[in-house]
Amino acid sequence: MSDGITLIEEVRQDVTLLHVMDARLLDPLQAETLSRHLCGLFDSGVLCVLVDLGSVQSLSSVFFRSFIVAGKKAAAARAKLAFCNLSPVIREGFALTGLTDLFPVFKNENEAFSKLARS
Amino acid sequence: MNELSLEKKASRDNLKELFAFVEEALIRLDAPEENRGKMMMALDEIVANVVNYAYPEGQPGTVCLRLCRKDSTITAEVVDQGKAFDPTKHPEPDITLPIEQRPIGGLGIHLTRKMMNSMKYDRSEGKNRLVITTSWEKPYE
Repeated sequence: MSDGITLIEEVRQDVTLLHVMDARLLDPLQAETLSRHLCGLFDSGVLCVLVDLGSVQSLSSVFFRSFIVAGKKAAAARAKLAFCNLSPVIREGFALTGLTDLFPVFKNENEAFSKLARS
Repeated sequence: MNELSLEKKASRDNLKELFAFVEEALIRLDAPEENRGKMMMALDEIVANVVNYAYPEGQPGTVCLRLCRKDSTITAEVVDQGKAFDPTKHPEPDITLPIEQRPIGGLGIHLTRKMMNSMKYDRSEGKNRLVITTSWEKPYE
């Protein structure tokens, strides 16, 4: 846990899986922490990060900003940022803001690993 | 009870309480989960905008939230006495740009506009008054 956000990280099949454990992501400080964490992974040479939002019920748009910041970092490093386990409302938020065109979004971890491992 | 309201100082210290009120009100108004999620996302954005931008730094005024339900529609009203800001006139972001050219901000109001069934703004007597609604289909009875 750091700066009000709980992140659990594991590495599987060359993919860094980041579980976001908070139910509500609202605080801009949490968003900044998540963005910094993701950018740090790409800076350290990680080539594929899968963010699991399965525990998140609600998030504010400031997190979409964090994902775009991290996405820019990933693109510059020729790395990949992907998401899985989105609630229907968060998935709709991704679609309405065009994030589904920027990032691979998977139904669950199994689907993500089967497709990310092949790419 | 079909209407709940809360007025607080529009400060960052009160954000958690304001968000908790919204969540609790939507549960008490028995909004379906999907509409609850959309309304929470919209109000998180609107309330955070009031707290962060409506008043001069260090001189917060108030923000008043009112939520009510009529049939299968939840209406939320947000009132503040800060500087005039009409989110219905806010320019649409270009969400088709590639990641390298994509601006980092500007998505919150766009998201609110798209997720709500309606969004109306009025400025009178020095107050911003924003009214948003979310509706659902009634189950067949």
